Amino acid sequence: MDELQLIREFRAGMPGPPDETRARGRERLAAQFEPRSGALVFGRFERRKLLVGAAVALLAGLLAGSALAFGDRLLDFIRGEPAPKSVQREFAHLDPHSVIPYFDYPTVIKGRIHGVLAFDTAGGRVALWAGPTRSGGACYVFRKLRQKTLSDSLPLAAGCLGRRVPDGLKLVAGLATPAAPNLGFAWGYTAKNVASVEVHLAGGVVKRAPVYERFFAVGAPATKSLVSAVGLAADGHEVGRCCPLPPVPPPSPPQPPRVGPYQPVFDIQKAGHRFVFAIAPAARGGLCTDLTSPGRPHERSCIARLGRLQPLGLGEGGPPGPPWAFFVGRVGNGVASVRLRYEDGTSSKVPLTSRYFLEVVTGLHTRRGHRPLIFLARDSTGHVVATERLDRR
Amino acid sequence: MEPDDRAVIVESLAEPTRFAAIFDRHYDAVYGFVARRVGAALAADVAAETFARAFAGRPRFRPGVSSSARPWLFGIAVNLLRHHYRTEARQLRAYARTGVDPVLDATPDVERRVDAEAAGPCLAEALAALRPAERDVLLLFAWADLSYVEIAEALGLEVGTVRSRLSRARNRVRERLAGDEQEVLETAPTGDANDG
Repeated sequence: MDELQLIREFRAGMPGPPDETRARGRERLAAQFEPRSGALVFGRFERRKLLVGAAVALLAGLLAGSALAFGDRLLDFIRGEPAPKSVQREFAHLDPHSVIPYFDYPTVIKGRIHGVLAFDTAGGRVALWAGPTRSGGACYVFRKLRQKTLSDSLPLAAGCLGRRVPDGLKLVAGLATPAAPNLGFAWGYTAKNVASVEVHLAGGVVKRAPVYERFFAVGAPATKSLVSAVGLAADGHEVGRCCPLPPVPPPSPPQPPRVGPYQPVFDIQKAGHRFVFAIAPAARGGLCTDLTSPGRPHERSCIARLGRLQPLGLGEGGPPGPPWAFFVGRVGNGVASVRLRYEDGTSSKVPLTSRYFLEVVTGLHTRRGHRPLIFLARDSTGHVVATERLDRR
Repeated sequence: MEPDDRAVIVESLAEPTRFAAIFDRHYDAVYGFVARRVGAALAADVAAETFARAFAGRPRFRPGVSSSARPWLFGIAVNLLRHHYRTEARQLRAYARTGVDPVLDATPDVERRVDAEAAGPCLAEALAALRPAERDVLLLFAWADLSYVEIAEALGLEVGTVRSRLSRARNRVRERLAGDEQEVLETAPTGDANDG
Protein backbone atom coordinates (compact mmCIF):
# COMPACT_ATOMS: atom_id res chain seq x y z
CA MET A 1 0.00 0.00 0.00
CA ASP A 2 1.56 3.34 -1.01
CA GLU A 3 1.67 6.35 1.25
CA LEU A 4 -1.18 8.12 -0.52
CA GLN A 5 -3.48 5.15 -0.04
CA LEU A 6 -2.53 5.00 3.62
CA ILE A 7 -3.29 8.69 4.03
CA ARG A 8 -6.64 8.23 2.28
CA GLU A 9 -7.55 5.53 4.76
CA PHE A 10 -6.23 7.40 7.78
CA ARG A 11 -9.26 8.25 9.94
CA ALA A 12 -11.49 7.21 7.06
CA GLY A 13 -13.88 5.72 9.59
CA MET A 14 -14.74 9.16 10.95
CA PRO A 15 -18.54 9.30 11.00
CA GLY A 16 -20.44 12.07 9.28
CA PRO A 17 -22.00 14.93 11.18
CA PRO A 18 -24.76 14.00 13.64
CA ASP A 19 -28.15 15.38 12.63
CA GLU A 20 -28.19 17.85 15.49
CA THR A 21 -24.76 19.19 14.51
CA ARG A 22 -25.92 19.67 10.93
CA ALA A 23 -29.09 21.33 12.18
CA ARG A 24 -27.13 23.72 14.36
CA GLY A 25 -24.90 24.64 11.43
CA ARG A 26 -27.96 25.25 9.30
CA GLU A 27 -29.55 27.41 11.98
CA ARG A 28 -26.41 29.47 12.28
CA LEU A 29 -26.45 30.07 8.55
CA ALA A 30 -30.18 30.79 8.54
CA ALA A 31 -29.65 33.50 11.15
CA GLN A 32 -27.76 35.40 8.49
CA PHE A 33 -30.66 35.24 6.06
CA GLU A 34 -32.44 37.91 8.06
CA PRO A 35 -32.49 41.27 6.32
CA ARG A 36 -29.22 43.03 6.96
CA SER A 37 -29.42 45.94 9.32
CA GLY A 38 -28.19 48.79 7.20
CA ALA A 39 -27.83 52.43 7.99
CA LEU A 40 -30.94 53.03 5.95
CA VAL A 41 -33.80 50.80 6.86
CA PHE A 42 -37.35 51.50 5.87
CA GLY A 43 -40.75 50.04 6.28
CA ARG A 44 -42.37 48.56 3.23
CA PHE A 45 -42.62 50.77 0.24
CA GLU A 46 -46.22 51.82 0.69
CA ARG A 47 -45.81 52.87 4.31
CA ARG A 48 -42.52 54.65 3.85
CA LYS A 49 -42.28 57.92 5.69
CA LEU A 50 -41.02 61.10 4.26
CA LEU A 51 -37.65 61.27 5.96
CA VAL A 52 -35.56 62.93 3.35
CA GLY A 53 -33.39 64.81 5.80
CA ALA A 54 -32.49 61.70 7.68
CA ALA A 55 -31.88 59.92 4.39
CA VAL A 56 -29.34 62.51 3.43
CA ALA A 57 -27.59 62.38 6.78
CA LEU A 58 -27.44 58.63 6.66
CA LEU A 59 -26.51 58.51 3.03
CA ALA A 60 -23.36 60.40 3.88
CA GLY A 61 -22.62 57.71 6.40
CA LEU A 62 -23.31 54.95 3.94
CA LEU A 63 -21.02 56.44 1.37
CA ALA A 64 -18.12 56.22 3.75
CA GLY A 65 -17.47 52.60 4.65
CA SER A 66 -14.62 51.16 6.63
CA ALA A 67 -12.71 47.96 7.05
CA LEU A 68 -14.39 47.30 10.35
CA ALA A 69 -13.33 44.39 12.45
CA PHE A 70 -16.01 42.54 14.34
CA GLY A 71 -16.05 39.38 16.35
CA ASP A 72 -15.46 37.59 19.59
CA ARG A 73 -11.76 38.33 19.67
CA LEU A 74 -12.56 42.01 19.95
CA LEU A 75 -14.79 41.73 22.94
CA ASP A 76 -12.02 42.12 25.45
CA PHE A 77 -11.24 45.75 24.92
CA ILE A 78 -12.86 46.92 28.06
CA ARG A 79 -11.69 44.85 30.94
CA GLY A 80 -14.93 43.21 31.84
CA GLU A 81 -17.02 40.17 31.12
CA PRO A 82 -18.09 39.94 27.47
CA ALA A 83 -21.69 39.16 26.71
CA PRO A 84 -22.56 35.46 26.50
CA LYS A 85 -22.77 33.80 23.09
CA SER A 86 -26.54 34.07 23.08
CA VAL A 87 -26.26 37.85 23.18
CA GLN A 88 -23.34 38.04 20.77
CA ARG A 89 -25.33 36.01 18.27
CA GLU A 90 -27.82 38.85 18.03
CA PHE A 91 -25.11 40.91 16.40
CA ALA A 92 -23.78 38.16 14.17
CA HIS A 93 -25.92 39.02 11.17
CA LEU A 94 -25.75 42.79 11.57
CA ASP A 95 -23.55 44.95 9.46
CA PRO A 96 -21.28 46.96 11.78
CA HIS A 97 -20.66 49.46 8.98
CA SER A 98 -24.10 50.81 9.66
CA VAL A 99 -23.10 52.25 13.02
CA ILE A 100 -19.71 53.69 12.08
CA PRO A 101 -21.08 57.07 11.02
CA TYR A 102 -22.25 57.61 14.57
CA PHE A 103 -18.77 57.01 16.00
CA ASP A 104 -17.31 60.15 14.54
CA TYR A 105 -15.22 60.89 17.60
CA PRO A 106 -11.53 61.58 17.01
CA THR A 107 -10.14 59.15 19.60
CA VAL A 108 -12.30 56.09 19.01
CA ILE A 109 -10.61 53.10 17.35
CA LYS A 110 -13.14 52.46 14.61
CA GLY A 111 -11.76 49.08 13.65
CA ARG A 112 -12.74 47.75 17.07
CA ILE A 113 -16.33 48.89 17.22
CA HIS A 114 -18.55 45.94 18.02
CA GLY A 115 -21.84 44.88 19.51
CA VAL A 116 -21.80 44.71 23.31
CA LEU A 117 -25.30 43.96 24.53
CA ALA A 118 -28.94 44.04 23.55
CA PHE A 119 -32.02 44.57 25.68
CA ASP A 120 -35.77 44.99 25.40
CA THR A 121 -37.68 48.23 25.63
CA ALA A 122 -41.40 48.83 25.19
CA GLY A 123 -40.69 49.99 21.64
CA GLY A 124 -38.46 47.10 20.58
CA ARG A 125 -35.06 45.62 21.14
CA VAL A 126 -32.15 48.02 21.45
CA ALA A 127 -28.47 47.29 20.85
CA LEU A 128 -25.43 48.91 22.37
CA TRP A 129 -22.39 49.21 20.13
CA ALA A 130 -19.09 50.35 21.60
CA GLY A 131 -15.51 50.93 20.59
CA PRO A 132 -12.42 51.66 22.69
CA THR A 133 -10.72 55.03 22.65
CA ARG A 134 -6.99 55.55 22.37
CA SER A 135 -6.99 56.89 25.94
CA GLY A 136 -8.42 53.67 27.38
CA GLY A 137 -12.06 54.70 27.55
CA ALA A 138 -14.93 53.79 25.27
CA CYS A 139 -17.41 55.45 22.94
CA TYR A 140 -20.89 54.02 22.60
CA VAL A 141 -24.00 54.18 20.44
CA PHE A 142 -27.43 52.84 21.37
CA ARG A 143 -29.58 52.02 18.38
CA LYS A 144 -32.76 50.06 17.78
CA LEU A 145 -31.83 46.52 16.83
CA ARG A 146 -34.43 45.78 14.18
CA GLN A 147 -35.10 48.98 12.34
CA LYS A 148 -38.22 49.41 10.29
CA THR A 149 -38.10 53.09 9.53
CA LEU A 150 -35.38 55.59 8.93
CA SER A 151 -35.96 57.20 12.30
CA ASP A 152 -35.49 53.80 13.92
CA SER A 153 -31.96 53.65 12.62
CA LEU A 154 -30.92 56.96 14.16
CA PRO A 155 -29.03 56.54 17.44
CA LEU A 156 -30.99 56.71 20.66
CA ALA A 157 -27.96 57.81 22.64
CA ALA A 158 -24.26 58.17 21.90
CA GLY A 159 -21.16 59.54 23.57
CA CYS A 160 -17.80 58.68 25.05
CA LEU A 161 -16.61 57.69 28.52
CA GLY A 162 -13.27 57.85 30.29
CA ARG A 163 -11.14 54.98 31.47
CA ARG A 164 -12.57 55.08 35.00
CA VAL A 165 -15.96 55.63 36.48
CA PRO A 166 -15.92 59.30 37.53
CA ASP A 167 -15.58 60.56 41.09
CA GLY A 168 -14.34 57.23 42.41
CA LEU A 169 -17.81 55.74 42.10
CA LYS A 170 -18.41 52.10 41.29
CA LEU A 171 -21.02 52.91 38.71
CA VAL A 172 -22.89 55.71 37.03
CA ALA A 173 -26.40 55.39 35.73
CA GLY A 174 -28.79 57.55 33.78
CA LEU A 175 -32.06 57.47 31.97
CA ALA A 176 -31.96 57.82 28.19
CA THR A 177 -35.05 59.53 26.83
CA PRO A 178 -35.00 59.23 23.07
CA ALA A 179 -37.46 61.01 20.82
CA ALA A 180 -39.67 57.91 20.80
CA PRO A 181 -40.75 57.63 24.47
CA ASN A 182 -41.39 53.89 24.30
CA LEU A 183 -37.70 53.32 23.55
CA GLY A 184 -36.60 54.77 26.90
CA PHE A 185 -34.03 52.89 28.94
CA ALA A 186 -31.79 53.16 31.97
CA TRP A 187 -28.14 52.48 31.41
CA GLY A 188 -24.74 53.01 32.87
CA TYR A 189 -21.11 52.09 33.17
CA THR A 190 -19.46 50.31 36.06
CA ALA A 191 -16.16 49.47 37.69
CA LYS A 192 -14.59 46.13 36.81
CA ASN A 193 -15.90 44.09 39.71
CA VAL A 194 -19.60 44.84 39.15
CA ALA A 195 -21.43 41.84 37.69
CA SER A 196 -24.99 43.15 37.65
CA VAL A 197 -26.94 46.25 38.54
CA GLU A 198 -30.28 46.70 40.25
CA VAL A 199 -32.03 49.65 38.66
CA HIS A 200 -34.60 51.29 40.94
CA LEU A 201 -37.25 53.31 39.13
CA ALA A 202 -39.96 55.57 40.50
CA GLY A 203 -43.00 53.71 41.81
CA GLY A 204 -40.94 50.95 43.39
CA VAL A 205 -40.09 49.25 40.10
CA VAL A 206 -36.79 47.35 40.34
CA LYS A 207 -35.07 45.82 37.34
CA ARG A 208 -31.90 43.74 37.30
CA ALA A 209 -29.46 44.15 34.40
CA PRO A 210 -26.30 42.09 33.77
CA VAL A 211 -23.06 43.96 33.14
CA TYR A 212 -21.16 43.17 29.95
CA GLU A 213 -17.89 44.86 29.20
CA ARG A 214 -18.70 47.24 32.04
CA PHE A 215 -21.94 48.41 30.42
CA PHE A 216 -25.48 47.70 31.53
CA ALA A 217 -28.85 48.76 30.16
CA VAL A 218 -32.47 47.91 30.77
CA GLY A 219 -35.70 49.16 29.24
CA ALA A 220 -37.41 51.83 31.34
CA PRO A 221 -40.42 53.97 30.46
CA ALA A 222 -39.52 57.62 30.03
CA THR A 223 -42.24 58.46 32.52
CA LYS A 224 -40.49 56.51 35.29
CA SER A 225 -37.65 58.55 36.71
CA LEU A 226 -34.54 56.74 37.85
CA VAL A 227 -34.22 56.65 41.62
CA SER A 228 -30.93 54.82 42.04
CA ALA A 229 -28.74 52.04 40.71
CA VAL A 230 -27.07 49.44 42.92
CA GLY A 231 -23.98 47.61 41.69
CA LEU A 232 -23.72 43.95 42.74
CA ALA A 233 -20.69 41.66 42.64
CA ALA A 234 -20.91 38.14 41.20
CA ASP A 235 -21.77 36.75 44.64
CA GLY A 236 -24.63 39.23 44.99
CA HIS A 237 -23.18 41.56 47.59
CA GLU A 238 -23.48 45.28 47.06
CA VAL A 239 -20.38 46.92 45.60
CA GLY A 240 -21.66 50.47 45.33
CA ARG A 241 -24.59 52.62 44.36
CA CYS A 242 -25.14 55.90 42.75
CA CYS A 243 -27.50 58.69 42.29
CA PRO A 244 -28.90 59.13 38.84
CA LEU A 245 -27.27 61.40 36.33
CA PRO A 246 -29.38 63.87 34.39
CA PRO A 247 -31.27 62.30 31.48
CA VAL A 248 -29.16 61.76 28.39
CA PRO A 249 -30.55 63.66 25.41
CA PRO A 250 -30.52 62.13 21.94
CA PRO A 251 -27.17 62.91 20.34
CA SER A 252 -26.29 64.88 17.27
CA PRO A 253 -23.37 63.04 15.69
CA PRO A 254 -20.49 65.46 15.15
CA GLN A 255 -20.01 66.51 11.56
CA PRO A 256 -16.80 67.68 9.92
CA PRO A 257 -17.00 71.17 8.37
CA ARG A 258 -17.44 71.60 4.64
CA VAL A 259 -14.19 72.77 3.03
CA GLY A 260 -15.27 73.39 -0.56
CA PRO A 261 -18.22 74.46 -2.68
CA TYR A 262 -21.08 72.13 -3.59
CA GLN A 263 -20.86 70.69 -7.10
CA PRO A 264 -24.11 69.42 -8.63
CA VAL A 265 -24.02 65.76 -9.64
CA PHE A 266 -27.66 65.38 -10.71
CA ASP A 267 -30.37 67.86 -11.59
CA ILE A 268 -33.48 65.93 -12.61
CA GLN A 269 -36.94 67.18 -13.59
CA LYS A 270 -39.57 64.48 -13.47
CA ALA A 271 -43.37 64.62 -13.27
CA GLY A 272 -43.17 68.33 -12.62
CA HIS A 273 -40.78 67.94 -9.69
CA ARG A 274 -37.14 68.89 -9.42
CA PHE A 275 -34.52 66.74 -7.70
CA VAL A 276 -30.97 68.06 -7.25
CA PHE A 277 -28.08 66.22 -5.68
CA ALA A 278 -24.74 67.94 -5.03
CA ILE A 279 -21.60 67.00 -3.15
CA ALA A 280 -18.78 68.96 -1.54
CA PRO A 281 -15.55 68.02 0.23
CA ALA A 282 -15.49 68.01 4.03
CA ALA A 283 -12.61 68.17 6.49
CA ARG A 284 -10.71 64.94 7.26
CA GLY A 285 -11.37 63.63 3.77
CA GLY A 286 -15.08 63.69 4.44
CA LEU A 287 -18.04 64.32 2.24
CA CYS A 288 -20.98 66.69 2.33
CA THR A 289 -24.19 66.02 0.46
CA ASP A 290 -26.95 68.43 -0.50
CA LEU A 291 -30.25 67.02 -1.69
CA THR A 292 -33.20 69.03 -2.90
CA SER A 293 -36.49 67.24 -3.41
CA PRO A 294 -40.07 68.54 -3.63
CA GLY A 295 -40.88 70.57 -0.53
CA ARG A 296 -37.45 69.98 1.01
CA PRO A 297 -34.77 72.25 -0.37
CA HIS A 298 -31.12 71.77 0.55
CA GLU A 299 -31.17 68.87 3.01
CA ARG A 300 -27.51 68.85 3.94
CA SER A 301 -25.19 66.65 5.94
CA CYS A 302 -21.46 66.02 6.24
CA ILE A 303 -19.50 63.06 7.50
CA ALA A 304 -15.85 62.12 7.85
CA ARG A 305 -14.59 59.58 5.36
CA LEU A 306 -13.77 56.36 7.10
CA GLY A 307 -12.25 54.04 4.54
CA ARG A 308 -13.21 51.89 1.62
CA LEU A 309 -16.63 52.23 0.03
CA GLN A 310 -19.28 49.60 0.16
CA PRO A 311 -20.13 48.14 -3.26
CA LEU A 312 -23.61 49.63 -3.12
CA GLY A 313 -25.04 52.12 -0.66
CA LEU A 314 -28.30 53.92 -1.12
CA GLY A 315 -30.91 55.99 0.61
CA GLU A 316 -34.46 56.60 -0.42
CA GLY A 317 -37.14 59.15 0.20
CA GLY A 318 -40.59 60.22 -0.81
CA PRO A 319 -44.14 60.43 0.45
CA PRO A 320 -45.99 57.17 1.08
CA GLY A 321 -47.19 55.74 -2.24
CA PRO A 322 -47.63 57.99 -5.32
CA PRO A 323 -46.71 60.37 -6.83
CA TRP A 324 -42.96 59.92 -6.59
CA ALA A 325 -40.02 58.37 -4.76
CA PHE A 326 -36.31 58.69 -5.21
CA PHE A 327 -33.21 56.65 -4.52
CA VAL A 328 -29.83 58.24 -4.13
CA GLY A 329 -26.61 56.33 -3.65
CA ARG A 330 -23.07 55.59 -4.55
CA VAL A 331 -21.25 52.50 -5.76
CA GLY A 332 -17.80 51.20 -4.86
CA ASN A 333 -14.83 50.86 -7.19
CA GLY A 334 -15.62 47.36 -8.39
CA VAL A 335 -19.07 48.30 -9.70
CA ALA A 336 -19.46 49.07 -13.40
CA SER A 337 -23.22 49.30 -13.74
CA VAL A 338 -26.41 49.36 -11.70
CA ARG A 339 -29.84 48.15 -12.69
CA LEU A 340 -33.17 48.62 -10.93
CA ARG A 341 -35.66 45.79 -11.21
CA TYR A 342 -39.36 46.37 -10.57
CA GLU A 343 -42.06 44.16 -9.10
CA ASP A 344 -43.59 43.63 -12.54
CA GLY A 345 -40.38 42.05 -13.85
CA THR A 346 -39.26 45.03 -15.91
CA SER A 347 -35.96 46.73 -15.20
CA SER A 348 -34.11 49.88 -16.10
CA LYS A 349 -30.49 50.92 -16.21
CA VAL A 350 -29.54 53.38 -13.47
CA PRO A 351 -27.23 56.09 -14.82
CA LEU A 352 -24.03 56.58 -12.83
CA THR A 353 -22.20 59.89 -12.61
CA SER A 354 -18.91 59.93 -10.70
CA ARG A 355 -20.09 56.71 -9.02
CA TYR A 356 -23.30 58.35 -7.78
CA PHE A 357 -26.83 57.74 -8.87
CA LEU A 358 -30.14 59.50 -8.34
CA GLU A 359 -33.09 57.52 -9.58
CA VAL A 360 -36.55 59.09 -9.44
CA VAL A 361 -39.60 56.89 -9.95
CA THR A 362 -43.03 58.29 -10.72
CA GLY A 363 -46.39 57.21 -12.15
CA LEU A 364 -46.79 53.50 -12.75
CA HIS A 365 -43.68 52.58 -10.77
CA THR A 366 -45.12 53.94 -7.53
CA ARG A 367 -48.10 51.58 -7.69
CA ARG A 368 -48.44 48.15 -6.15
CA GLY A 369 -47.18 45.42 -8.45
CA HIS A 370 -44.91 47.80 -10.36
CA ARG A 371 -42.80 49.35 -7.61
CA PRO A 372 -39.00 49.17 -7.42
CA LEU A 373 -37.91 45.79 -6.05
CA ILE A 374 -34.14 45.45 -6.11
CA PHE A 375 -30.99 47.28 -7.11
CA LEU A 376 -28.37 45.06 -8.72
CA ALA A 377 -24.75 46.24 -8.96
CA ARG A 378 -22.54 44.43 -11.47
CA ASP A 379 -18.83 44.45 -12.11
CA SER A 380 -17.27 44.90 -15.55
CA THR A 381 -17.71 41.18 -16.34
CA GLY A 382 -21.43 41.34 -15.62
CA HIS A 383 -21.32 39.48 -12.32
CA VAL A 384 -23.66 40.74 -9.64
CA VAL A 385 -21.45 42.02 -6.82
CA ALA A 386 -24.04 43.64 -4.58
CA THR A 387 -27.78 43.93 -4.24
CA GLU A 388 -30.19 46.04 -2.23
CA ARG A 389 -33.64 44.57 -1.98
CA LEU A 390 -36.20 47.26 -1.25
CA ASP A 391 -39.22 45.22 -0.21
CA ARG A 392 -37.34 43.88 2.82
CA ARG A 393 -36.33 47.22 4.18
CA MET B 1 -32.01 20.19 -13.74
CA GLU B 2 -30.64 21.66 -10.51
CA PRO B 3 -28.80 24.96 -10.96
CA ASP B 4 -25.06 24.69 -10.35
CA ASP B 5 -23.32 26.26 -7.38
CA ARG B 6 -22.43 29.41 -9.24
CA ALA B 7 -26.03 29.99 -10.28
CA VAL B 8 -27.26 29.34 -6.75
CA ILE B 9 -24.78 31.78 -5.26
CA VAL B 10 -25.71 34.49 -7.75
CA GLU B 11 -29.40 33.90 -6.98
CA SER B 12 -28.61 34.10 -3.28
CA LEU B 13 -27.44 37.68 -3.73
CA ALA B 14 -31.03 38.64 -4.38
CA GLU B 15 -32.64 35.84 -2.38
CA PRO B 16 -30.35 34.92 0.56
CA THR B 17 -32.27 31.78 1.52
CA ARG B 18 -31.14 30.15 -1.73
CA PHE B 19 -27.73 29.79 -0.11
CA ALA B 20 -29.14 26.97 1.98
CA ALA B 21 -28.73 24.78 -1.11
CA ILE B 22 -24.97 25.32 -0.95
CA PHE B 23 -25.04 24.22 2.68
CA ASP B 24 -27.04 21.12 1.85
CA ARG B 25 -24.72 20.16 -0.98
CA HIS B 26 -21.40 20.63 0.76
CA TYR B 27 -21.80 20.65 4.53
CA ASP B 28 -21.11 16.96 5.06
CA ALA B 29 -17.96 17.05 2.94
CA VAL B 30 -16.59 20.12 4.71
CA TYR B 31 -17.51 18.76 8.12
CA GLY B 32 -15.93 15.39 7.29
CA PHE B 33 -12.68 16.99 6.16
CA VAL B 34 -12.42 19.19 9.24
CA ALA B 35 -13.42 16.37 11.61
CA ARG B 36 -10.68 14.12 10.24
CA ARG B 37 -8.18 16.86 10.88
CA VAL B 38 -9.15 18.17 14.30
CA GLY B 39 -11.96 16.01 15.63
CA ALA B 40 -15.72 16.19 15.77
CA ALA B 41 -15.92 18.70 18.59
CA LEU B 42 -14.06 21.43 16.71
CA ALA B 43 -15.48 20.38 13.36
CA ALA B 44 -19.01 21.40 14.28
CA ASP B 45 -17.89 24.96 14.94
CA VAL B 46 -15.42 25.24 12.08
CA ALA B 47 -17.82 23.82 9.50
CA ALA B 48 -20.66 26.10 10.64
CA GLU B 49 -18.34 29.10 10.58
CA THR B 50 -17.16 28.11 7.10
CA PHE B 51 -20.68 28.44 5.71
CA ALA B 52 -21.40 31.59 7.69
CA ARG B 53 -18.29 33.20 6.20
CA ALA B 54 -19.06 31.87 2.76
CA PHE B 55 -22.51 33.42 2.94
CA ALA B 56 -21.11 36.77 4.04
CA GLY B 57 -18.43 36.63 1.34
CA ARG B 58 -20.60 35.32 -1.49
CA PRO B 59 -20.48 38.58 -3.51
CA ARG B 60 -16.76 37.85 -3.90
CA PHE B 61 -17.25 34.26 -5.04
CA ARG B 62 -15.51 33.65 -8.35
CA PRO B 63 -15.87 30.14 -9.71
CA GLY B 64 -12.74 28.55 -11.10
CA VAL B 65 -12.40 25.74 -13.59
CA SER B 66 -15.79 24.41 -12.64
CA SER B 67 -18.73 26.29 -11.22
CA SER B 68 -18.49 24.26 -8.02
CA ALA B 69 -18.24 26.06 -4.70
CA ARG B 70 -16.32 23.13 -3.25
CA PRO B 71 -12.77 24.53 -3.64
CA TRP B 72 -13.91 27.89 -2.32
CA LEU B 73 -15.54 26.32 0.74
CA PHE B 74 -12.56 24.11 1.48
CA GLY B 75 -10.34 27.19 1.16
CA ILE B 76 -12.39 28.96 3.82
CA ALA B 77 -12.32 25.86 6.03
CA VAL B 78 -8.54 25.57 5.73
CA ASN B 79 -8.19 29.24 6.62
CA LEU B 80 -10.24 28.63 9.75
CA LEU B 81 -8.23 25.51 10.56
CA ARG B 82 -5.12 27.67 10.77
CA HIS B 83 -6.27 28.68 14.22
CA HIS B 84 -6.14 25.00 15.17
CA TYR B 85 -2.82 23.88 13.68
CA ARG B 86 -1.34 23.36 17.11
CA THR B 87 -4.28 21.25 18.22
CA GLU B 88 -4.04 19.17 15.07
CA ALA B 89 -0.29 18.58 15.47
CA ARG B 90 -0.69 17.83 19.17
CA GLN B 91 -3.36 15.22 18.45
CA LEU B 92 -1.24 13.61 15.74
CA ARG B 93 1.80 13.45 18.01
CA ALA B 94 -0.32 12.00 20.81
CA TYR B 95 -1.51 9.30 18.43
CA ALA B 96 2.06 8.58 17.34
CA ARG B 97 3.21 8.36 20.95
CA THR B 98 0.38 6.36 22.49
CA GLY B 99 -1.14 4.45 19.57
CA VAL B 100 -4.54 5.86 20.55
CA ASP B 101 -5.96 8.42 18.15
CA PRO B 102 -7.59 11.16 20.22
CA VAL B 103 -9.64 12.22 17.20
CA LEU B 104 -11.22 8.82 16.62
CA ASP B 105 -11.17 7.88 20.26
CA ALA B 106 -13.48 10.78 21.05
CA THR B 107 -15.88 9.60 18.39
CA PRO B 108 -18.26 6.77 19.23
CA ASP B 109 -19.00 3.88 16.88
CA VAL B 110 -15.97 4.31 14.69
CA GLU B 111 -15.33 1.60 12.19
CA ARG B 112 -11.58 1.39 12.08
CA ARG B 113 -9.65 0.22 9.04
CA VAL B 114 -7.10 -2.41 9.89
CA ASP B 115 -4.40 -1.38 7.41
CA ALA B 116 -4.57 2.27 8.26
CA GLU B 117 -4.78 1.52 11.94
CA ALA B 118 -1.63 -0.56 11.83
CA ALA B 119 0.25 2.23 10.11
CA GLY B 120 -1.67 4.89 12.01
CA PRO B 121 0.85 6.00 14.63
CA CYS B 122 3.70 6.19 12.07
CA LEU B 123 1.50 8.08 9.65
CA ALA B 124 0.32 10.40 12.38
CA GLU B 125 3.93 11.20 13.22
CA ALA B 126 4.69 11.80 9.56
CA LEU B 127 1.72 14.13 9.16
CA ALA B 128 2.60 15.97 12.36
CA ALA B 129 6.11 16.54 11.04
CA LEU B 130 4.87 18.24 7.87
CA ARG B 131 4.76 21.98 7.60
CA PRO B 132 1.13 23.09 7.98
CA ALA B 133 1.09 24.46 4.43
CA GLU B 134 2.23 21.10 3.08
CA ARG B 135 -0.28 19.27 5.23
CA ASP B 136 -3.08 21.50 3.89
CA VAL B 137 -2.22 20.64 0.29
CA LEU B 138 -1.71 16.94 0.95
CA LEU B 139 -4.98 16.51 2.85
CA LEU B 140 -7.03 18.58 0.41
CA PHE B 141 -5.72 16.21 -2.26
CA ALA B 142 -6.13 12.98 -0.32
CA TRP B 143 -9.23 13.64 1.77
CA ALA B 144 -11.15 16.34 -0.08
CA ASP B 145 -10.39 14.88 -3.50
CA LEU B 146 -9.56 18.27 -4.95
CA SER B 147 -7.47 18.44 -8.11
CA TYR B 148 -4.24 20.47 -8.32
CA VAL B 149 -6.14 23.32 -9.95
CA GLU B 150 -8.90 23.23 -7.35
CA ILE B 151 -6.37 23.22 -4.50
CA ALA B 152 -4.69 26.21 -6.13
CA GLU B 153 -8.07 27.97 -6.22
CA ALA B 154 -8.85 27.03 -2.65
CA LEU B 155 -5.57 28.25 -1.22
CA GLY B 156 -4.89 31.09 -3.64
CA LEU B 157 -1.69 29.47 -4.92
CA GLU B 158 -0.13 28.85 -8.30
CA VAL B 159 -0.73 25.33 -9.62
CA GLY B 160 3.04 24.81 -9.74
CA THR B 161 3.30 25.62 -6.05
CA VAL B 162 0.57 23.10 -5.27
CA ARG B 163 2.37 20.49 -7.34
CA SER B 164 5.70 21.04 -5.60
CA ARG B 165 4.17 21.19 -2.11
CA LEU B 166 2.25 18.00 -2.71
CA SER B 167 5.29 16.23 -4.07
CA ARG B 168 7.41 17.39 -1.14
CA ALA B 169 4.76 16.35 1.38
CA ARG B 170 4.33 12.90 -0.15
CA ASN B 171 8.11 12.36 -0.25
CA ARG B 172 8.46 13.34 3.38
CA VAL B 173 5.66 11.03 4.45
CA ARG B 174 7.08 8.22 2.34
CA GLU B 175 10.56 8.70 3.80
CA ARG B 176 9.21 8.82 7.33
CA LEU B 177 7.20 5.64 6.82
CA ALA B 178 10.17 3.89 5.18
CA GLY B 179 12.39 4.98 8.07
CA ASP B 180 9.99 3.47 10.57
CA GLU B 181 9.81 0.27 8.56
CA GLN B 182 13.61 0.06 8.48
CA GLU B 183 13.75 0.66 12.20
CA VAL B 184 11.34 -2.23 12.75
CA LEU B 185 13.42 -4.52 10.57
CA GLU B 186 16.64 -3.55 12.35
CA THR B 187 15.26 -4.15 15.82
CA ALA B 188 13.43 -7.38 14.96
CA PRO B 189 15.22 -10.64 15.84
CA THR B 190 16.74 -12.26 12.71
CA GLY B 191 16.91 -15.94 11.82
CA ASP B 192 20.73 -15.86 12.13
CA ALA B 193 20.57 -14.60 15.64
CA ASN B 194 18.10 -17.25 16.61
CA ASP B 195 20.31 -19.89 15.07
CA GLY B 196 23.35 -18.72 16.86
